[in-house]
Amino acid sequence: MSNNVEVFARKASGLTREAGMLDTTYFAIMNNAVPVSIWFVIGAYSWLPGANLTLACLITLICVVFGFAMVWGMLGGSMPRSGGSYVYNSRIIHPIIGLGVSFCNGGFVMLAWIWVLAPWVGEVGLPIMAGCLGIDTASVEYFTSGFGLYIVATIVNVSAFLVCLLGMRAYFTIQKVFVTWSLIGAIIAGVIITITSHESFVAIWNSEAAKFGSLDFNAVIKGASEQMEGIPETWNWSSTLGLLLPVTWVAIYGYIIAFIGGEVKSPRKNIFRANILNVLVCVVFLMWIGLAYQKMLGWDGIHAFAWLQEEGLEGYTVPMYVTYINLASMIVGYNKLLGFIMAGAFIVADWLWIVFSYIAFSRAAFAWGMDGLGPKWFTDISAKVNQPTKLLVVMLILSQIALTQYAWNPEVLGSISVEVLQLISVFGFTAISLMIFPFVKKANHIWNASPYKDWKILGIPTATLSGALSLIYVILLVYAYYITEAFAFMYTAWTAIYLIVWAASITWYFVWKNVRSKEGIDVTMAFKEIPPE
Amino acid sequence: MSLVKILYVTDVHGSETCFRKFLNALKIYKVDVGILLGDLCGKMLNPIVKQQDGTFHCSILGQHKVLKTEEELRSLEKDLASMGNYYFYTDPEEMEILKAEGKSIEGRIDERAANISLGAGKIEELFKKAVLDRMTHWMELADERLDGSGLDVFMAAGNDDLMEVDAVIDSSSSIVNADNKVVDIKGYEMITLSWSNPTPWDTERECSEEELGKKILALTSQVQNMETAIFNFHVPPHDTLLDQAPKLSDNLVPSTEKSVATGSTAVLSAIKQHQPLLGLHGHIHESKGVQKIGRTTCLNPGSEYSEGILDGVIVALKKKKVKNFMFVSG
Repeated sequence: MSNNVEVFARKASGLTREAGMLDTTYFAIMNNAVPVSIWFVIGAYSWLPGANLTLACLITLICVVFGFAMVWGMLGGSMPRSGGSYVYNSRIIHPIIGLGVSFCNGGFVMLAWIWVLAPWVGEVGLPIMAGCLGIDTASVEYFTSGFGLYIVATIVNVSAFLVCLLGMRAYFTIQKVFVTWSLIGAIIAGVIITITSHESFVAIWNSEAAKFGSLDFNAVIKGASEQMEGIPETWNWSSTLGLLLPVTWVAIYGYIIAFIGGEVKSPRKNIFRANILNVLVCVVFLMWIGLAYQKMLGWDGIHAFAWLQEEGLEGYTVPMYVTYINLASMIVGYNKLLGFIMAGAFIVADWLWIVFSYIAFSRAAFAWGMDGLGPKWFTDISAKVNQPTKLLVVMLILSQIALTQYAWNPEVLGSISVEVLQLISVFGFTAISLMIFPFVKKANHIWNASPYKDWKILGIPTATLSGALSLIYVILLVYAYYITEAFAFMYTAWTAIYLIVWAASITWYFVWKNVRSKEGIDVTMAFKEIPPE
Repeated sequence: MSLVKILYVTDVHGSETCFRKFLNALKIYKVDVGILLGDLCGKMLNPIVKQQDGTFHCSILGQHKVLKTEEELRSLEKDLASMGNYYFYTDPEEMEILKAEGKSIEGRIDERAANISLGAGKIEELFKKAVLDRMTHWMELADERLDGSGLDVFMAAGNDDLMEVDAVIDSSSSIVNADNKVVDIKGYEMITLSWSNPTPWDTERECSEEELGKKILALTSQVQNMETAIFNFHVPPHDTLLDQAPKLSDNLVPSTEKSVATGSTAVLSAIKQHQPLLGLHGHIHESKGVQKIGRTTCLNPGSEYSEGILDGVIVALKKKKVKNFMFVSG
């Protein structure tokens, strides 16, 4: 018998929440895909010369821990419901904003993830795997572009679709195995890179280069420096600001806990803590491996090898992609087991994103349908597989069209643009929601029951301060996007796409409101606040 | 038959806010009929312990609160009632006695408090009084608000509800206790069943599937026209979207990954056999959804009573058909 009994309970049914803090954190880490994110950040040195990884990580850590993580943690803890940003923004700001955010995030961005990330298995994952297994990357070159890439991306996409048909139970089992694999792979690469000195690496690289008559270490530096029109002697702010975008990507995607808010056990504690813990884990991984990589390659080396990774160099003939995973594999003499684990970590982490995109899209569209904001078949669930199969098929068709475009016109940096759309639409509006949460009359009863209502700094609700910090960070990141020259070629097209997606979501809302009205149902009732008095 | 609009709500679990919202929602949503199915009773009883220094201590949402003024106490009472908890005033000496009576179920029943004791003895008495007091207050409130409104409002208990709750509902002049009988809803026959199949918690109104089947048969045999009938059964049909709950281990710890169908096979069989127009269900709060079983549209609006949010579904019936439905949350 506990001496600290504070509440008495009746015999009554109701244990319904299942995910604990570690499960919740694990779910968040899945969406940050650590091995893939590290590869992407390291590659950024080629288009952001002079970026300061330490500074970018520290700024991100502070702004995301005290900003975004608290935004999602506090809102999730106050409204622990599945549906996330749709629920928060529709209740605190307005249903149109809630739908717009959901339309961008659950709809367009999830499609964009498949469009960009499924091909990465062919473009990047297979060459990494071939290199790690000591197989000439030329043997998989067919699958890195055009029809070959389309085949790989289609296999990735269709397999993700089929896993969704198997149901969430199958997905969670696969997720557990694959996230563990991805973290083990990153740890193995990190340990190898950490314990390898600069001198040892140069010696191993030069020896490997000599075997194939390729560029030695100094030649790689010289060649990349010429192509990059000189490697900066020290860091600079403009590239560091640009680096904030991919580094933030490594840290912020734990927000997807919001999608399963209704399933988290002790949500008032666990959603908040898991959001914070996820950021710490992911940024620590990035700082550890990124800085160890920089120590191993040196300042010039990290730029030159990023260039070699992204753009290639004339005279480079080693049959291997130059990624941190491949270099770690080279250091251990292409040990096949370690290579398979490390390269496989990249592929499985990337693949999980595709599956999750299906899950998120179908759940978001199902929620619109349940609120009358979509065709009736949006709420159809197959009795056979207990899944919204029609919505999954819609995503399959749309994503296959997108993959067709990508295979013949690849745009790797498109992912950064998607991130900006998501920053404004999801993180920006949700930050505003938290900022005004304590002061919005219609959400007053939720705020009063929130465990964070007494958290104050200098008399100002911590929620407001965290929301404001997040909003400032969103503005900084969007500013960084628009001042970074490497992204310049995408400004016009993507700005137009942002506007079109938002316009489409607002149009969607009014069209369905009108359709339902003719059927005698007022969809605004779905969101109407009912006074208790 | 003209258009009939029904607001269906379930599992308010003692939440004062949700019940008050239900009464107001009937007018705001402009419906003809309101149905509030169990569970009606709350699950938690909070002691508010008066200390020697004149302050009051209470644990709410896992936070230990010290209250000094009357205003703070009234606010606490309101918050507790809003989330469906009951409360009573006591002192440290009595608390020691009550603690000794209780059976600790530390850390596994609810997310909102680290240490919870299952009621027994005096605690049971306190619970029963609190439950019936609130139910009585609800019926008085309903009679006051619904008198002369012209609305048809039906209520019934759920598996978590004390048997004594039925008599309290019966005492209302504005609400019809629909449990275990056929009632007419603007030309549609509705049968209601508060009982469920067995749960791991051994609740008030649960029985074997076989017995449940008999109870259902006793009701269905009274229905004249299944084509327009409504089955208002607290427990949802088995292995559908409306009955998915986490699998529990032997010591009742919920699984983080595996879900299990907790609905009733007897209810599923009855729906498959009789194919009524509509199935209204509750019981599994997180399994909000819709599922067609043959021609029958089955709905579970879910519940977020602890957040003071009223979840429901508005169903529009016309010409013997489900014209439309919309889940609402207010």
